[in-house]
Amino acid sequence: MQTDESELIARSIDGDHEAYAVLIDRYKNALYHHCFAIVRNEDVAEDIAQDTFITAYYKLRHYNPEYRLSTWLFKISTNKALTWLKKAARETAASDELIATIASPHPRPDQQAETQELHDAVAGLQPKYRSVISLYYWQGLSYQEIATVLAVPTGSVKGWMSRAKQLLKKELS
Amino acid sequence: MNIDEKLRSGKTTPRRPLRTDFTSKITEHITTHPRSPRLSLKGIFMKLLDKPALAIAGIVAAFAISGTAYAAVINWPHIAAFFGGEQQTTQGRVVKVDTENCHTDNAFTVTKPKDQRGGPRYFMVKQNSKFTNEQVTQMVLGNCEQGAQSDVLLPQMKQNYHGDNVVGGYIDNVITAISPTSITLEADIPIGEEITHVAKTFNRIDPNVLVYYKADVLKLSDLKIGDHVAFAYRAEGDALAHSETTSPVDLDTDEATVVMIVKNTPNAVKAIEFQKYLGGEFKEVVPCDSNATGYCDLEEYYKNKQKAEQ
Repeated sequence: MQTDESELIARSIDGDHEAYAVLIDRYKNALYHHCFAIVRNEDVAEDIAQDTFITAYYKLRHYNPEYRLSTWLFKISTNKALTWLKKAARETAASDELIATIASPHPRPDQQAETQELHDAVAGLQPKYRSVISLYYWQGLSYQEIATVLAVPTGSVKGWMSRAKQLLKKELS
Repeated sequence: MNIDEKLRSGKTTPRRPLRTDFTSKITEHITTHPRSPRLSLKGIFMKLLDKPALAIAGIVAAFAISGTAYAAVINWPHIAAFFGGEQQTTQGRVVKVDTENCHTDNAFTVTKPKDQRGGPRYFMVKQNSKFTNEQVTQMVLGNCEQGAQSDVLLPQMKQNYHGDNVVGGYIDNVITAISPTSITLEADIPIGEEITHVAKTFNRIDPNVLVYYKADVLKLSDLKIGDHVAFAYRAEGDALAHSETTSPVDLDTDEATVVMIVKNTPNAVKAIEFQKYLGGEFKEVVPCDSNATGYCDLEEYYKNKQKAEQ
């Protein structure tokens, strides 16, 4: 049976690193996949996921238990991923290769053409649309939770989702 | 297959799993970079204000429309601290300080009843410490004044800047240069186990910057070189993304716009100095039955009490 999350959080706040490691192991893959969906680079996604857990550790006292811990972690990681993209866009000269990777991820040999086409289409969306797609379809968050993650009204999330799907349909048609 | 089905079945996956040392690297980091020691004199400007809340949308909108920061008239409470006696124990000497209107906004508010204002406070001073009873009383008075700053100024800050990603700077800095568009602040800041000298020039000051001394609204031009101040800035970029973990040494001031400056009271300045250099020589305690000395560590006491109540 999983140790109760609130107990793990309380122990982590008290400085119990083993308890925090349990929380990390519980959410690290979800965060890594979500960050990857936004930044489209494994190394960067892993760094951001790690950075997220470090930030979360120092901010744990401020965590509001009204929300799921995962929602809070997605909030931190999404902010970091979007900030990283903005910064990367400003520093294109310094990281042409990286930006190229972000713009067009290498297709996996085992990946079906249709899936690859979908991934390329999603990768071509604005970062905020990519975030919404990843959080809703791949991480299972509700619209309300996504609104919390992105600090916008639920109506904005619905609008972005609708616009993202329109663009995807157009791209895939 | 419609677009919803395609998206559900087409999850983007990285081409490699996480490295095996993913978790251990994090735990190693947090072990070697422990949380900052929680100063009992932690003032209002160590806080990161929350992101916008719908509940205050009206106030934020009013601010946006008026285009000017709203410096409200506020009341400064009568604050007092008196030496109330001492008692020797096996662990040191306990100094009692009686207080009036003392609302400490310190680390213990996590567990201490927040509406506690005034009454006695107790400090266990280590054996052979040179920390005098007068200094303890002075420290408490300054701490109470910091609490009052928090009480009266934090609402102003939230009212004017809530949602602007405002981050608190160090609580006690000395102004070493100042102009209408720029301010240089220097401080000796406890970072980890060391005291580090930090000097930063902020070339971005919000045109509507709020400046206070106690409850008095000042102008930027009222501040002068040598004044001790706390401050807060609107952060962006890395300064915002890493606001909780960025050391004051590493803050990029191009990503910070000063939005509030508070001139510290002389008592608060002294209190911070005591805490910074002598903090290891005393700790706040409360009378209790569970310890042979008759006093328990304040933080531990309230933590245990809270656990027992759950």
